[in-house]
Amino acid sequence: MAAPFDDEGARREVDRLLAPLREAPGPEWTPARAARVREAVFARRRRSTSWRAWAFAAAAAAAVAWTLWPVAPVDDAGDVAAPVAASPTPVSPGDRLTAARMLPSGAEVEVAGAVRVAEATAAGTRLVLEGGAVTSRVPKLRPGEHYVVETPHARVSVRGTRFTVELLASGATKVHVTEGVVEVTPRDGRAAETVRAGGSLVVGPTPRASAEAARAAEARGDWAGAVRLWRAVAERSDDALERQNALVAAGRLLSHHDVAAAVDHWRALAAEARGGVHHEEAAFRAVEALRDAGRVAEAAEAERRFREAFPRSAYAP
Amino acid sequence: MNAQALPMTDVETAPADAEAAFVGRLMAGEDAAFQELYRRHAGDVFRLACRFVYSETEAEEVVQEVFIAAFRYVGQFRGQSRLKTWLYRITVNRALKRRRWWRRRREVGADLLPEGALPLPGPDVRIADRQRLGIVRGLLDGLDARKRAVLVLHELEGLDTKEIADILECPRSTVLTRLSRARHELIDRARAAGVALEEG
Repeated sequence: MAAPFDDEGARREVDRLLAPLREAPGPEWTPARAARVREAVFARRRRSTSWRAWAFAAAAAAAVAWTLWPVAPVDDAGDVAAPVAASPTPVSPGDRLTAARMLPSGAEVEVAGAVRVAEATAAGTRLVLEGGAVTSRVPKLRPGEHYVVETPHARVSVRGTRFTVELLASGATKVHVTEGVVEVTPRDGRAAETVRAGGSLVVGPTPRASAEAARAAEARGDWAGAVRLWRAVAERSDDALERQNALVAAGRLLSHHDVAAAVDHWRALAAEARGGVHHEEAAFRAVEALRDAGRVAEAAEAERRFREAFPRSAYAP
Repeated sequence: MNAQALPMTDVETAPADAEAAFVGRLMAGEDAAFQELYRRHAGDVFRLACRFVYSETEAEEVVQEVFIAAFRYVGQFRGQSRLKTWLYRITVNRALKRRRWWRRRREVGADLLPEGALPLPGPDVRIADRQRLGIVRGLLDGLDARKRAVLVLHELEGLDTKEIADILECPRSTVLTRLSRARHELIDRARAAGVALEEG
């Protein structure tokens, strides 16, 4: 007798339907990826297993680091004077620019941040600014040629000028023009604006734009910047759940990089999200952060309360 | 007695004994054992996570979370399932949590997927196949999380229903029920979307 759930016809149809998904090559677990994740995992393990022995050393190291940590230089976005190569150098889509150079179109760029090349031919240049600032000196373009700098929330296009596009710490885009005219088109649908020589324009990020910028910061490893941007998303959001989503994203980064701050962050979020969808995760992450910070007694008590509140939680197998 | 009987028995019991010994080393906190655990299973955990989350970056984070949780909670591993099943259970739980997080974001209008969203196959794959792949992914994503999990584990990962029951910590009969309902719902959705099911 056939089992009540055995539907051979449905099984065959689903088998055929899902065949392309089953056969499609998935992302590879490459040696580089394995090494990167291993480092993160075992760094965490070392931190949580050896906190007693290293507590005093870590405190001392932290004190030294605090006094010696270099302050990031603040570029004067309107006055970049680094030397530029005298002749064009070939670049390809996907390349990252890290220094001053002349592009195939003859435009000169000076980079103080992270810039990815999306297009660079004699006829057109499209750069994507992911962080910091890029200054461009663009020769007069012929009809059909273009020069564009994109940020997460603006597209800046020119017709022969000198200008700087900078991603501010707040996540906003600042455009400063020293020669000529540029047109700035906000990505959120607002009308384009023209900025003339000597003028500046700041395009404020929407929560959505800040979220994009936060993810870009995460992708390039700037976790502190990403935390700041996620918090900016939370501050600007009118929706409680969207705000908490952003705070969860910030908290996950803090848990990996700054456990002391993570404790306070998750506790505050757990209180804010009490009874809501993020209550469970925030409460559990607070337990983890306490443990990682070596606050064992507090962690044990917090875990006891967590298990009382969420007895079937997937977070604590 | 059949001469092959003894070796067969050895083959069947030796892996279980070896795993018990290995778990003992993990519980003792032996660093080399943790390294070995990672080396053996991280790739499988990553591949499984990719079935549930929206990006490779997210899948990497799931791998991190799984092994950190495994190291932390290995003392609670009771040996009632295989170590790999236990890791898969943590993986599915963590990945589903992240998936729910992104779905909630989309529900409130923040319809952004994480960086490095899982790609469709490259240009060497026929356009029709790529389109079909995208449609099938969409159909699968439309199922509720529990049905989708059973279908993914059985149809894509090839796990049997007993293993799935261990991973999802539910009776095998529940897995069978969800599997049957998931199949029928997927077929209904495919028909509604105009996907030709008879294509081989």
